[in-house]
Amino acid sequence: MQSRRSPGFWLLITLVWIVVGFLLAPMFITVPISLTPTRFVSMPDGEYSLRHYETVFTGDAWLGPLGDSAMVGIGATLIATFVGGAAAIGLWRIGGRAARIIGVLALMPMIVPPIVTALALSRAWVTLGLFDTVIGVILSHAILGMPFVFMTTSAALEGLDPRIVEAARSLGAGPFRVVRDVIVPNVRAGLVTGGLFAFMISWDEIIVTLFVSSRSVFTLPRKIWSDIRDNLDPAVAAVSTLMIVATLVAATLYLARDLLRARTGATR
Amino acid sequence: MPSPADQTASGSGAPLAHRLGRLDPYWWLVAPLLIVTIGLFLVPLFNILLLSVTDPEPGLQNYERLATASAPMRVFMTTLRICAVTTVIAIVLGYCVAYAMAHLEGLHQRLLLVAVLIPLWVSVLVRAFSWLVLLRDQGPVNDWLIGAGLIDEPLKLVRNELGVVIGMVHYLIPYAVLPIYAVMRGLDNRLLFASRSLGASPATTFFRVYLPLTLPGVFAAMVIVFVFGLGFYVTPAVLGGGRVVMLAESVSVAILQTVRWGYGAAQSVVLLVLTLILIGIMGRTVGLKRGFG
Amino acid sequence: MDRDLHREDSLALVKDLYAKGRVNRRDFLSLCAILGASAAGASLGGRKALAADEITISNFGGDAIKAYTDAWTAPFTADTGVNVAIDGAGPLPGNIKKMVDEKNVIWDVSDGDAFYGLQLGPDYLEPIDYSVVDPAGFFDWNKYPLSAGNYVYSYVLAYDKTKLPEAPTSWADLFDLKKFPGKRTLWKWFMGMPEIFMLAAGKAPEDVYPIDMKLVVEMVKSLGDNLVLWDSGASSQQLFLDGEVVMGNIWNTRCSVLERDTEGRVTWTWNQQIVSPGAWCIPKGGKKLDIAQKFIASTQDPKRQITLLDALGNGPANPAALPLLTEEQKRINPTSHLDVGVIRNEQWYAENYDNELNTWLDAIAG
Repeated sequence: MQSRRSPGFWLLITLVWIVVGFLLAPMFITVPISLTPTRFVSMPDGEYSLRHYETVFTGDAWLGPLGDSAMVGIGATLIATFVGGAAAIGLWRIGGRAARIIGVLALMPMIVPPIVTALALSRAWVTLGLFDTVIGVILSHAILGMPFVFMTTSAALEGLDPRIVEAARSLGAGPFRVVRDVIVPNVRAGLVTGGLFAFMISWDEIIVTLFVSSRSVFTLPRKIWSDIRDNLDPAVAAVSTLMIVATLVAATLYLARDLLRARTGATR
Repeated sequence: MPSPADQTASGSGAPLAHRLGRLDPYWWLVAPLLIVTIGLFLVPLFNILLLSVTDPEPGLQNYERLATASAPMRVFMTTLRICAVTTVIAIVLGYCVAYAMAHLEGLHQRLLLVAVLIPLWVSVLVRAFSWLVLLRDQGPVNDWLIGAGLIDEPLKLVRNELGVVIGMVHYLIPYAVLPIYAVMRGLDNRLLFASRSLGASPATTFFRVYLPLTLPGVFAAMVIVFVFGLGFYVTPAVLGGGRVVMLAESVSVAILQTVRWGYGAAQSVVLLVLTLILIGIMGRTVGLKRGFG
Repeated sequence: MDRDLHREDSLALVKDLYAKGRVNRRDFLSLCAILGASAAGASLGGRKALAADEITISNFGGDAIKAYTDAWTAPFTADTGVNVAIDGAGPLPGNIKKMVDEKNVIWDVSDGDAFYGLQLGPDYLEPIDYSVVDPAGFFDWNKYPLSAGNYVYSYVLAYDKTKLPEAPTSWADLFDLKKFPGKRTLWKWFMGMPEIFMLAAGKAPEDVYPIDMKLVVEMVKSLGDNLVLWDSGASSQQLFLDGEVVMGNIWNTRCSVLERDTEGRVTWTWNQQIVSPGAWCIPKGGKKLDIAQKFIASTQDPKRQITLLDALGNGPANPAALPLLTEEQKRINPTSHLDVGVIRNEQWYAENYDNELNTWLDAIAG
């Protein structure tokens, strides 16, 4: 497209990189704090130390919660993506008033203040015997993540031409195949985005988690919360820095793979 | 809208299938969400919200208190104002980033994507704290502005509403970018070519063709950002310096500290009703045919 | 025989390592299981699988977990064989109500303020059994039917020596913006704050209650942009560490830490301290009432309370501990300076916290 090289486009790119700078700004605090030699949170003054990384990797105090969070996050993401995505697709096909009403219902877990959701779920989980179980925490995070998947998938479906589905049907594809082979591939971006959100919601969730778990499930935010209330521990910054580094490594590998493919001439 | 093909597909064979033949088979896809949302969320939630008219004793005192005291009104207005401002900024900036991501290729595009994803990994508490350090009176931002001779006195960037908005916009931009980007990627670019080749200017093409086509993404992003923002608790508490109380925190105080659950529930009911109305209005403004109109 | 002895010994070692945080809970439980100890519980079943001789207590987390272990729970385990788990989730009154309403009481004993007993009442808390707990081991303002003092902390005037012309000596100085320019910090969550307004306004210590909230609102607004709120112990420390405030009303427990971390730059005065009773309470419906009462009684031990003072700066709630203190311990102990303080009135908070907290939050927002 011509407009890509127009001055306007490059102006936009400049603005976008300013926004990116804004997005990355807290890193310039988080990373140095993680290297401070003091036991409390401070900006290092020419002297750096890895002691807080040592804390993270020593014993189970941080690694345990990291494992719990990963497990809960993955479980919640799978459920939220499957349930939320399926419903978005189903309602898109069904349409009409009922679909609209259910569409609003699906958003409810997002609207209710977290503390109220926490109270409601914790009562229900005690009744159902899910209190302080991994399954209970996964389910509650899945409930919180579902609206995000539902929204992003619904948005992606808006751009999909219903006639594609009609065409597939007329060629003899059953509803299951239509969904799997026609609809899902077309809304993949929406599903992936929603799934990513669901994971992030779970990864950072504290209020509901505090209410539905006690000692058996101890997620990373619970660890951070219990540390930070009393004492701002630079280990929290170290964990965040590790996450950033992990993201960068994953991204680099991904880019390298792409570049390698391009060089070896593989077609995309 | 069950087509004839739908009915033949599901109506073949067993009596059960025959009975269900009247029902659109796509309801099966919706069923899990209905079961989970209603059974595991709405029913338990109803029990809690009921407290607004039963705790501490049956009646409407909790709503009366909400309507008559000045503090709750201020909290509501602060919450709505901050969320509205945050949403507008996050959506505008998010749209720009999504647009760039959708129209760039290769390394440049990937770098943008990574940059958007990175902040998601940093805990909300750590992020709020980092902003506090960056923006405070003796923080790097004010130091730099003073050093550059742009200002004489440090700007009040934090421990007020501005600080809360900065922190929330930062948190929410990725949540605005990605849904919009997902929709942009799904667009058929031939439509734009068609518009251009029919002689429309770039601006006309953008406003008359591209923007309307991406509105579903914008709407999804708006709902996510606005509604997600309503529930924010940590960011306002840290960056507002105790002077900006938003609704989620106010409800928490009622539940955890003053132990007035009915009062907390009443605030939640009002929030719920207001939000549903707002989503309805947003849906209409954006003019969606499906979903939430 | 030998085998049993060895087992006991190994168990003690594991418990010790666990207490010191060298072994995590999962490993602890599996090691106990290997050693055949009854304290072992299956990890999946959670609480239900826990054996009879383990109780859970709650506190506010962070450094307090280790400090409570050293001062109270490890000695209790050594004496009785009952293991004590500490849940640092933060026991606010609402958390206790939630557990009791759900009939899912996890905390056999909960940390908190003395006024929890008055606020939550007998529907939510078990009475303290003063035939097990020694009624003489308390200051009389920290002994209630539903709550029993475990430590005393206070709200004191802390200040940064390097940033003020002279040392402030009373709350009136905190409101004197001319003589002591700069930002000051108060607690967002109200308790221990309104008293200083009354004292600064010239009321005698015995006339502080009932609080005149109109005056509080007026005075807090007069501080304008010079007021910064702290909302957790950690944030109050950070404000002084970073030099963002010149003085403020913060917990004494943070003052001694600050003095150490800033090498004396930040210090405090006991004058007009607002003395606050920390207290245990027993959520109603716990299954191990007997052990809970015994645990509370065990924490009255003066030596154990002094261990806590050394670790956290929380003052002994048992007056019998006072004569045992060294000069240095007296210097950081709030209950050694009661003569210059005002005792926080728990009854006033029980009756007014709900309304006046909201008034306060509204005033500081505006």
